[in-house]
Amino acid sequence: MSWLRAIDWIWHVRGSVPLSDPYQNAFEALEPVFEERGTTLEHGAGTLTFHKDNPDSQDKLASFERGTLQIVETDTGSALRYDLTSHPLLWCFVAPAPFAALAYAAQPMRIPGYVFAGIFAALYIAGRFIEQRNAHKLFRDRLAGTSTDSAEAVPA
Amino acid sequence: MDAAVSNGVEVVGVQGGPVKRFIFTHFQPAVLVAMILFWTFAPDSIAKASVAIGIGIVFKIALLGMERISERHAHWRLTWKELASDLFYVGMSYTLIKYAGKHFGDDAIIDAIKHYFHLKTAWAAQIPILFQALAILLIFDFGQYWMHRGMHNWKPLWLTHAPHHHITQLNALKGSVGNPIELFLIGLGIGGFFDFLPRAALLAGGIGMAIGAYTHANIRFNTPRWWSYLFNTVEHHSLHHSPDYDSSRTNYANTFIFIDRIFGTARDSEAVHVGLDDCRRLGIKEQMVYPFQPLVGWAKRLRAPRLPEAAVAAE
Repeated sequence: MSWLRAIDWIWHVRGSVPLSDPYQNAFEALEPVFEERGTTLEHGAGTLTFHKDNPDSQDKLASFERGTLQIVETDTGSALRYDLTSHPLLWCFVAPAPFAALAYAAQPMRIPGYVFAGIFAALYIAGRFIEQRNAHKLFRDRLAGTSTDSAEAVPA
Repeated sequence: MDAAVSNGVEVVGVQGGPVKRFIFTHFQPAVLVAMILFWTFAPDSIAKASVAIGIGIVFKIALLGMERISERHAHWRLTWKELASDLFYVGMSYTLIKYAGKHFGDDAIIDAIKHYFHLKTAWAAQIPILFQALAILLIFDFGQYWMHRGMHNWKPLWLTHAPHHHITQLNALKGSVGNPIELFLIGLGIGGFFDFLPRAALLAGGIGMAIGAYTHANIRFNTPRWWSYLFNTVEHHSLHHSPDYDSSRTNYANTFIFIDRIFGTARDSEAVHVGLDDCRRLGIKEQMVYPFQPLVGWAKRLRAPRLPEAAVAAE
């Protein structure tokens, strides 16, 4: 459905990371990223799909419950292309509406209703930027072998 | 820096220079004094509920900033998703739960009783404002202590409170995270029977809000010993949120930990891990339906197709 494709940027994060070494096994390099509780992997022909069921808070990809990674050939060489799905981003996008409705319908909630509608609108914009940047940085650093931001160690 | 050991956890004080250590040692008492001075001497044009709400929001934002300066645990660090989820609960507290409390909760019930019995307690407003605020806090905290303790000892109440114990990290907003039924119940009190000044209620509310926020904050303070003896702290409350069953049945009071000392439930210690069972967090939908799990299970059992008993017996 083309109309869905036109608006799915609201809850989808897409991007690509160039692969400096065309012979590098990108999926193998990324495997530590998915060693998190509640994460399952599916390997396909040139693709890797992950699913997250109730991920832990400090999981670097906790905002995304599904994602597909693919090795593609571009004009400039091989690249890892990712398409991540985030329900938290979708709900955050929708959240201003019920708070604004409360503010409109029930006058005692006018100020807090509008304030929280504004807070969630700002939070969505921030999250759409932050979560995309974090995911891109995570994949890029892992593929470059320079990652230092593995999941925070939880003391035993 | 000297380190002590509490509950198997190496306790390290605030790290950094003398200014940082000074601020994170005296912050909690200084805010208490500032609250008392502000609400006692502010002109009537400022001393109103909307200002109190504004102070509450700014204060919690400041504490979230302080979490980055003197962080308690890296694995409690606030993420975007956690912030978005927490703000949903904060939004509910400021809108629906507040509305329900005002129209269907203690305020409405007490007003009706007072009206019916013609109860008047105008003398309460003649007491010095600091003592009025103290009385409001003590009355509320005493009731809150027993409601909270009841939630840990009676399953129907526990079903409303357990979602709050499923949080897996602490931060200044976590006090608002929980099932709305629990948040409604824990907010009930009988202070409304006394006609205290609104200004005293705002002072009491400010102090309760600040201490409630400290107890959930991911901040390492050098809390003075006298403060820890009187007031609830993040150390006490992290222990209350421990997955260890016995530890979670301690430190019930919201503001005054000495109420726990009186009833023998205080424990001066802390926990690094917080959560229930295998420390999995609950999503918003799970938090909302959690108290109704037994009903849902019962309904599913009723709807499940039954095997003919004779066929089962024959097998």
